[in-house]
Amino acid sequence: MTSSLHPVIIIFAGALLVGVLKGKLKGVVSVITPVIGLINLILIDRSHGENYVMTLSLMDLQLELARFDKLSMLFAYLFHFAAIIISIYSLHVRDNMQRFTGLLYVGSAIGAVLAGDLVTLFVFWELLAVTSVFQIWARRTPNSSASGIRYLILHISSGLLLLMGATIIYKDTGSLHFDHFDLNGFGGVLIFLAFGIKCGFPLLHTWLTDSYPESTAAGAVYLCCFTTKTAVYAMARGFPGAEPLLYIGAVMAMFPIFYAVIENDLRRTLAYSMINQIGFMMVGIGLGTDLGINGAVAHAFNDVFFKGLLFMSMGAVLYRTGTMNASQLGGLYKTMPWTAGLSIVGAAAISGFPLMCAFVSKSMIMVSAAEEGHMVIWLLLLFAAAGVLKHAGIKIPFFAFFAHDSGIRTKEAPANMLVAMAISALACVIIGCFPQQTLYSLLPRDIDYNPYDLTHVVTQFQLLFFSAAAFAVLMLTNIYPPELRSINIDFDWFWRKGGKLFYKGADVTLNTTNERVHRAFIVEFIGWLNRFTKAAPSRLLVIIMTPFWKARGFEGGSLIAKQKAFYEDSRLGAFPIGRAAIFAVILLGLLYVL
Amino acid sequence: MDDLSELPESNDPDREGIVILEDDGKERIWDNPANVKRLLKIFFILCGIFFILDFIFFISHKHSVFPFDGWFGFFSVYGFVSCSLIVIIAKKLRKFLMRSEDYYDK
Repeated sequence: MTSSLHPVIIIFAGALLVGVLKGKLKGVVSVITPVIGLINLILIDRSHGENYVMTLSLMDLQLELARFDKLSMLFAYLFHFAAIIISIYSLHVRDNMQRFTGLLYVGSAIGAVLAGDLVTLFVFWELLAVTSVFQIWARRTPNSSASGIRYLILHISSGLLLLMGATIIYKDTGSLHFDHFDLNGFGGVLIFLAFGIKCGFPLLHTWLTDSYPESTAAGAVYLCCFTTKTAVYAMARGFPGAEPLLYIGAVMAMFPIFYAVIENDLRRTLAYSMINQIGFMMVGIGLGTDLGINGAVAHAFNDVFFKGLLFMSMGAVLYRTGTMNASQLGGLYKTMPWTAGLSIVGAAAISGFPLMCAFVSKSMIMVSAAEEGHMVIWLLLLFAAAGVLKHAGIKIPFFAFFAHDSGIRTKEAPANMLVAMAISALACVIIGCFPQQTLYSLLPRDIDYNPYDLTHVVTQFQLLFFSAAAFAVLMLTNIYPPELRSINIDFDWFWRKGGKLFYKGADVTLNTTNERVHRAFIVEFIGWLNRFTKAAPSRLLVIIMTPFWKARGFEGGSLIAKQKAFYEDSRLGAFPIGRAAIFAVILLGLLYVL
Repeated sequence: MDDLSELPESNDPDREGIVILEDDGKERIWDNPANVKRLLKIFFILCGIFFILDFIFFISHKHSVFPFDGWFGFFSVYGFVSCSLIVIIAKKLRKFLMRSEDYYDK
């Protein structure tokens, strides 16, 4: 059998069906859709081989709607796997806002990684932003609404930067082909920044830590599997070997660790951990070597399984207890033993224990960094690797399921959640144990690298065990900081608080000016003008008439009474007809003279 | 210990999954401090074994890329020191970064 059907069509059709269907059928279709998509993808892979392109001519533009090569194929497969797992995980969700947009989101991500030209990429890039925000809004809390808006602002900006960059590149080169860009041109820099926002570059990373903890239980899993992975793909495609990525990646691997240690919200801790993991991938891409690129891509692939697993386990805890604060949780192993066990598998996988998937992929990046002679980067990554064990490997399962007993007694996670977590856990172990047979065949570059070298295994165990020993010692000596109900300010302070300060400043200066001007002009000047126009003609008439009255012998009190009465008459316009007629004649005379 | 009963009302669809049960009074494995002690003991013994394993490598051979990563106990010491540093620095950072939960709502 062969197939030439664009993979996105299947997912979008499934999404529409899910939107219409009701009850159990909704869940069934949302699981079957990515399965059919996967079969279609395998058929395309089998029937067309490598470097197959689906094109569309639009006026004089030649669009590459889908490009199937090793790099894009790996991510397309990955997204189908992820979609199947998450659909199972969210089988219990009845909320249409999540189910319908969830599949659209998957389709957009697949479309983006298959896009062969910048226009197609831009369309799916923006679709990705718009469809993903519903995973945050579906929580329906004031915080999630606000966070979703902030998320959308950054992601739409990313799309606009991409569009600007694409326009400049088209103008310079006459080609829209999405391939390697260079950072010397302005267009390339704009595209680099567009990808960087979605990758969570330092200072642009705040959408990640802001939105993940505000999304629904399943929403956070969706977000962690697709958006950042699409960005990592785009970076690996567009900027392999870009030197700035080395330093950006090292910073990304380092700074979130400190935040993760003191963060109380466990899903925010995972979001910081996400930035740290992408940091490793960025270094791999920045190295640009076959091993580095392979390591980065493999790490992105594995990250979907282990980080997805951790997010799923925390989602299950949130679903059962309603809270994600480490200060409120603890002792849940008593009532959620399966979730606790699966969470530990995810934690071991992210920490890079031998026989777990991250051990293989993280090693590739670090070995490549060492081989290229980047000593400082290597030392920083090693520091970060020890940190991963601390903040993700130990903190997440320890504070949720063990630590002090919070007294919360709940039920085990629903069966569908456990199944989804078990599949991810199994993937972590299988990839970790048999990388050559599974992951390696999907990698874009040919490699000959065996992570299971005795020295490497032993040194990795040493690193991990002694990092854990440090945690144990700090815990036993009470140096370890307690979990407190709190938040930690990050760079988004500048627009969340700084924005408010600016608003307040603008409020004070502009509104005060406005009020002053209002009082001076509207209240005082207009009032004065009003009084002036009312009183001036009457007073003028009184002044004109006074000599006549004086001549007629009015004096003192009677003159004042006469003036007052005339003034009142003229102000109200209440003249006897005779006098009015005289004034009219005078007026006409004046008009005639003038 | 914070109380869970103070959760505010909301339309969050995940709320339907919340289950809070009474304690069944059974003692679980980590309720017994002796078990925790035993686990810690096993853990520290394992640490010791890996440390000694390094010594064997040290005499025989060990692949190293940089001059220092072949030093005896390099990875153990590096792991222990990094992890301690991370926690201590993070604890200090709290002074500058920590705010109350409703900080952004104020």
